[in-house]
Amino acid sequence: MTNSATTKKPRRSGRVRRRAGAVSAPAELPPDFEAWFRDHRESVYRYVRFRVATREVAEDITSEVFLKALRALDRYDPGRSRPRTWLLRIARNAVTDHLRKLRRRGSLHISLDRAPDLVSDGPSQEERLLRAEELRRLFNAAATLREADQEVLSLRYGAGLENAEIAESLKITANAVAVRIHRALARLREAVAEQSGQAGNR
Amino acid sequence: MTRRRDRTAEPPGFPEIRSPDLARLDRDLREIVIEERSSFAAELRAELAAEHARLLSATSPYSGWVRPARLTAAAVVLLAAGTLTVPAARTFMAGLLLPAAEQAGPVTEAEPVAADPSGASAVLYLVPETGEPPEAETRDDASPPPEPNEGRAPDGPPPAPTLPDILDRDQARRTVAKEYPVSLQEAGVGGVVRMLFWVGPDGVAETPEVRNSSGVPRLDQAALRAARSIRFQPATRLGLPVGTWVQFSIRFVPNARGSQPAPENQTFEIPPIN
Repeated sequence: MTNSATTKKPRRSGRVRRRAGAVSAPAELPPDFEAWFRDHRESVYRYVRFRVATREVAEDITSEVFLKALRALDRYDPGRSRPRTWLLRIARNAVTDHLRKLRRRGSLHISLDRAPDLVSDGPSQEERLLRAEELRRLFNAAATLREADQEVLSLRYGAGLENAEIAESLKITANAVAVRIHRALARLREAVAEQSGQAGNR
Repeated sequence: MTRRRDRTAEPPGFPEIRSPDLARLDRDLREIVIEERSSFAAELRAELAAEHARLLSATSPYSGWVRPARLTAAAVVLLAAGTLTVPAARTFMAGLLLPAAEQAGPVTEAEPVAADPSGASAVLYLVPETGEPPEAETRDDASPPPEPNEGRAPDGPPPAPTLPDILDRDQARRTVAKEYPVSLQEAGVGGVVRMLFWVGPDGVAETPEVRNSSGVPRLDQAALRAARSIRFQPATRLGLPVGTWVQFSIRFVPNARGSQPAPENQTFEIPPIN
């Protein structure tokens, strides 16, 4: 191969090296954001994990949520929402985008049977396994609910929000939240019964 | 009507769940424990800190469109594409870059083609595409200008320049498929990653970097790994392999069946791993 002047690779600017250095440097976050990350990361992750099929996707979306929040930090208005509500609003949008993409590709329905990160607190190993299996079935059934039901259940049982916080997030009243949760649970009960019936017929 | 009656029948506040079945479901859902991967928080924290550092610095990717290096790379790619593909653009760009050759007509390259018969060295002139006689430009003022026809290559016009292309498309497809994380395929996660990298005269891609992210960091990483492994037919100029910057996209499609790798500046799809 010719090694003439025309084939010599141009010098790269120092930007890439500095960027790489920035990754490895002892890094700091804005103090407020550091606190949000510490206090609300688990809540956001659990919410996302309740909405998507696998741990990997949940991790990707959670990363995306905090990166977006960091970039938009100067646009956060504490007068309008609390940090956790704001973060969860970003998470809701990210999950919605993700599900929309899956739906467009026709690959929305994904088996959750191999979800390895759902566990249960039980006294014995056997009981834990049985309980984990029950919870897995419950999780599967919840994934068949309509999106609004999944949304409210994920905010309550995934993110662990109180009704008032869900109300703030969804911009509805706390009473309306309670009613939605009640109805979503009723539909979940039907879905679980339906799945149990299908399993019994096999 | 029934729904309306039900709603008004519920007591204000309604925090508790009275039905035993629903109360059990409520308890079960509260018991669901989701184990986070142990290193996830630390990894995400590091990613955020790096992002914060980038945002603080003048070299932030969010000011990337105005960064001189990026602009230079974009200009090089545009210049190469415009010069090599459109005759009118070739003429225009040559006029911009090589003012001394303004009268020489459409130009492809400045090239030392022949020595002056009088013995003067380093006679340079431009090789025109048309039959117009080339205008000479010498470094030795004492030497006479060469005859027009002496400047032509003895075997006719020089070979047309070529752009890089994938050397083996099947191999490239296998390479990309191999890098596509199975977990993302199973989750139906795909996307397009646009990269910029240097294809050397040996056909090896170097220093790939993501220009347009897929939004999924692991897909971006997979694309970068694949780019380093794919071998290219290098660009050529006057028949000789030369290095060039290339924009290249890889599309990860979880449900795609079969695919054709496309040439530079296009995307190619890969099938899922069975």
